[in-house]
Amino acid sequence: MTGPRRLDRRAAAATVLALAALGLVPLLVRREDVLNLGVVFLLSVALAQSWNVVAGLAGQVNLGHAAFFGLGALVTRSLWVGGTPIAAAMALGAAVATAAGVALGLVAFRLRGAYFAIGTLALAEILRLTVGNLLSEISTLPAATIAGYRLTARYYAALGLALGSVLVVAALVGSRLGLGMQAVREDEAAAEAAGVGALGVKLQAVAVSTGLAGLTGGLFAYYHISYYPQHPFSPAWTFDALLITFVGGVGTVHGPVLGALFYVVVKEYLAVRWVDFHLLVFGILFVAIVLLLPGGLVEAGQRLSRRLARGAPRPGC
Amino acid sequence: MRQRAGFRTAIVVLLAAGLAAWPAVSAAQAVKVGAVVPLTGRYASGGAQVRAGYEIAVEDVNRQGGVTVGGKKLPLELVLLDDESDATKTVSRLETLAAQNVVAYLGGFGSDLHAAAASVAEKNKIPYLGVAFALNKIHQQGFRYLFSPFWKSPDIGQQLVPMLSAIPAGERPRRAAIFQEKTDWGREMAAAFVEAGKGAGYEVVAHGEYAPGAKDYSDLILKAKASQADVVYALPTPPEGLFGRG
Repeated sequence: MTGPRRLDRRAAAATVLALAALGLVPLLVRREDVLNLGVVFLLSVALAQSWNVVAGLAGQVNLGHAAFFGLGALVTRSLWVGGTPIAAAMALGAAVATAAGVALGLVAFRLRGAYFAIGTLALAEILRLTVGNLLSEISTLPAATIAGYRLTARYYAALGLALGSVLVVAALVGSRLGLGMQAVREDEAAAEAAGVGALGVKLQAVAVSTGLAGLTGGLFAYYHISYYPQHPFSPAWTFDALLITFVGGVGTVHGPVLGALFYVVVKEYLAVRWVDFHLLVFGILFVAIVLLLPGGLVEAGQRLSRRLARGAPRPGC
Repeated sequence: MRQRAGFRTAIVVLLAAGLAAWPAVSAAQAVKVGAVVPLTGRYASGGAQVRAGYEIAVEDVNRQGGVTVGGKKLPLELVLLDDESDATKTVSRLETLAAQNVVAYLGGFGSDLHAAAASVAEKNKIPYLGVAFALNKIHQQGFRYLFSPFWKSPDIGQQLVPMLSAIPAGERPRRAAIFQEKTDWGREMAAAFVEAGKGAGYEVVAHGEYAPGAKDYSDLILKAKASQADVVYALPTPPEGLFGRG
């Protein structure tokens, strides 16, 4: 197992370096569209990584991740517009999201099986409908704030968050807690027999995951000028995170980053290039990746480096 | 036809404003306008109509030689992108268009997409022409780059009065039910329907709310029936707006 693990570590290091290099983009490029795409990409990395912690590492499928993203956005936006500094507002948003996640986990993890998935799905829908009913007014930043709006600030905040989320997953993977999560994922009963406190490990995974999702939601609230408060609770956010993680490589450090690159940047390129059938092209690409690379885009890198290590490429592998 | 003419004049007016605000645009061969329209997703059917409108308008303007800029006629060039009915993508696509140096934005469909788009236009200081949205609230936020050649909620309410007066007095509806969508536009429209009742001489006898995306309206319908309403006012947003037909 040392081979693949060393490979993963190298890939993780390369991912961190590549993300850090993105810090130069605003200095080199003055184009708002590039920065904006960068914000959306980095936001997707952070959201996918946060889903990856609970579902990829700990094996607890969360089908209502939008709930925590939305809670982070809701709390952050309300506080920030009310005058709280953005960092404090985001921290509080993350705290609320974490509290909701742990509270749900405490209940759902008393049962085995699909209850966590069902519980999260239900929570997200309940919150979406409730927020939609109670806060039906659009949330738009005041005209004065828009005049002073700088994408660069959002870009660096998103970069910090994406980098942080990658580092969190990288630190978890090899740690005692992360190994415990992976043991629970593989076989909960065996993990418990080996001395892993499954409930505690799962709750910690949920706490880390929902905290990150809450921060990402806060970033969305900081970035998006005008949206309906229920928009961040839309199931699309859950499925974006899920699809990005799966297409990249679930349970890996660099998978969600590759996934977001495909899911956000390639998709955006296609949308601009082929206005009328971009979704069709994207769909075909997506299906092709899932069929040819069941382990996600990460697998392509692994196959490539294995082939390079063997020397002569073999056709039709 | 009147709407088309409205489109055209609005585009021309906007272009004049856009050119004034965008000195970077040189005397190029064509005047580029950028549209972000939902061609897929939940607003796809509305977006298709908006797109057709733009294409007809641009074709029409170009057939007559284009727009006059500094005494010279230049053709219009329409760059149209799909936002998948997703406000986050609306923002991305508008930024892409800004990088392509469009002189004006043309809007899509749906209040949430319009609100997101109008604020990006404000940030980028590019005039935004929002057709197909009636939400009045966005216009009261001090945006300087937002234009809309489309009637707003209070106007729709006012139009009800002459429309109902055209019906013979004996057959005019007297008892109205309002099915209010629980959104800001729904609230504006409900207020407009109530207001219009004063002029049109109907009484609001039932007033119920539904959430966007609701599937079951039986409680609203029963309420309207029980109060013997002879007309129902609601929002036309698809798909919910279609439930009352038939």
